[in-house]
Amino acid sequence: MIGPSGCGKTTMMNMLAGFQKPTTGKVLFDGRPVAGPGPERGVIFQEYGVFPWLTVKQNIAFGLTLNANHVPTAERDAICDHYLGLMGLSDFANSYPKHLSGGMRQRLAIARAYAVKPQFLLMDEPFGALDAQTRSNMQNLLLKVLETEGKTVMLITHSVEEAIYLASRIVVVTARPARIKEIIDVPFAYPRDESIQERPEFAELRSHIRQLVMDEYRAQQAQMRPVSFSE
Amino acid sequence: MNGAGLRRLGLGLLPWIGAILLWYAVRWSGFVNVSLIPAPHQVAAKSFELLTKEGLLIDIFASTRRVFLGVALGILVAVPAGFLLGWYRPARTFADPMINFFRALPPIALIPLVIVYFGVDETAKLVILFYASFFSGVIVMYEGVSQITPLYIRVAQTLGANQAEIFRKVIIPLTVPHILTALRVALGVAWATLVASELIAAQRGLGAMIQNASTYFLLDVIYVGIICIGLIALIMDLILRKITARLLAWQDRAIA
Repeated sequence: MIGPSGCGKTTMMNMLAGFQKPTTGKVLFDGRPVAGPGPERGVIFQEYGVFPWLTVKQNIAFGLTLNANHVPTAERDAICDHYLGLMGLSDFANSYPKHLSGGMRQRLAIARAYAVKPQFLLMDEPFGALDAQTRSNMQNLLLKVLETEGKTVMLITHSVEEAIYLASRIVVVTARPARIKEIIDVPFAYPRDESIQERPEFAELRSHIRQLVMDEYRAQQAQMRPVSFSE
Repeated sequence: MNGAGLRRLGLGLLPWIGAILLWYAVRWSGFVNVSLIPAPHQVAAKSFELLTKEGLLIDIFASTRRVFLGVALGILVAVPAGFLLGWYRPARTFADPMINFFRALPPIALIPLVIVYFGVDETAKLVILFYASFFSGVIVMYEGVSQITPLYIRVAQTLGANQAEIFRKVIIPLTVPHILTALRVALGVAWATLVASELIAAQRGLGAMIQNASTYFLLDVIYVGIICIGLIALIMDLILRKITARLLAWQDRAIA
C-alpha cells in the first residue's frame, strides 16, 4: 500500500490490526468482523517494538508462552531455533536487544511475529528507520521469508521501488479522504532478485506509480492551509 | 582485582583523601578556631571510643532500623499508588495538586502535629520517615509509569496477550526500574529526614546522638554522627545500585 503521508495509511493498518474501530463500514477477516488485536494478524511496527527486557530468544518465544498460542517447551525451542536461523540471529540468541543494530531489531520483530503462526501480517513502514544498505538487505530477507513461510503480508511503504520489488499487488491510495486510486498487479514472478530492478518493465511501472503518488502528494499539499501567525 | 578495578577503587578513594587533607588544612590554616574543628584523627579516636564504650552500634542499628522500616512502608504504599496515578490519567489530574502540596512540606514542620496525633514513641518517628519516603517515592513512580510507551502493550496484544498477561509480562518488567529508582530516592530522603524524626524524644539513634551532643557542645561526637549517617546511606545506595545493575542488565544505560 502506497500513498502520500498523512492520507490515513496507518489509520487503516490500525483498523486491520484491531487497535481502532472504523467509524463506518466493517473490517472483515475471513468473513468475521475484527473485534480487536489478535495473534492471527501479526503486526510489524516501524519502531520495532522488541522487548528490551527479554533476550533475543525470549523475544521470539514471547508469543508462544501466552495462553492464546501455547506450545510445549520442546516445540517452542524448535520454533525459536528455526527463526533465529532464518533471521541470522543465532549468534545473538542470549543477547539483549540493546546489543542489536536497527536491522537486527527489525529482524527480531519479524521473527517474533512469525513464531505465533499468524495467517496474515501487517507491516507499517517496517524498514523506514533503516539506512539504505540495511533496507535493501531486509527487503531481500523478507522475500526469502515470504518464500519459505508463504504468508500474506500487507506492507505500507513510501518507497515506490520497495513496493514494486516486494509486492505482487500494489494499492495506490489517494490524498485525504483516502480512497483506492488504482490497484496494480506486479508482473514479476517469485523468487525475485535485485536484477529485476534493471528491467525496463520495472522502470516503466516505477514512473507510472511515481506519477500517481506525486499527483496525490500535490493534492494533499493543496489541502493544507498555510499557517498564519496572526491567528 | 585487575588493573581497571584498582584504578576505579583509586579514583573512588581520591576525593575522600582530598577531603581529609582539606579538613586538616582548614584546621591548621589559622582562619578558624582550632577548638571548633576536631581533627580527623580525633574524630576517629572518638568513634572508636563511642563504638566500644557508648554503644554506637546500638545507635546505628536504631537509626538504620527506622530508616529501613520507614522506607519499606513508604515504598509499599507508594508503588501501587504511583502506579495507579501514572497509569490512569484522570487519577493524576485528580491527585497531582494534592501530592505536590504535601510533598513540598518539610517533614520537620510537621513534627508538632505528629507529636499531637502519634505521641513521642517509635510510631511518631516512623510516621515522619514514612511521610518523607512515600511522597518522594510516589512522584518517581508515577512520572516513570506515565512514560511507559504503549508500543510494547500493542505488540503484546498483536501476539495474543490477554489483560492479565500484559500486566504480568509487559507492565511489571517495565515498572521494576521505576520501583528501584523510587527506592533509591526514598532511601536518600529518609536518611536526610532521620535527624528531624529523631528530634522527637529519641533515646537512641544517630540523630538523637547528634542532638544530645549539641546540647553539651561535643563537636567530635557530632562529626562522628554525621559521618556515620553519610557512610550508611552510601553503603545502602551502593548495595541498591548493585541490585539494580543485576536486575536491569537489559537497560541501555550502565548503572553500576
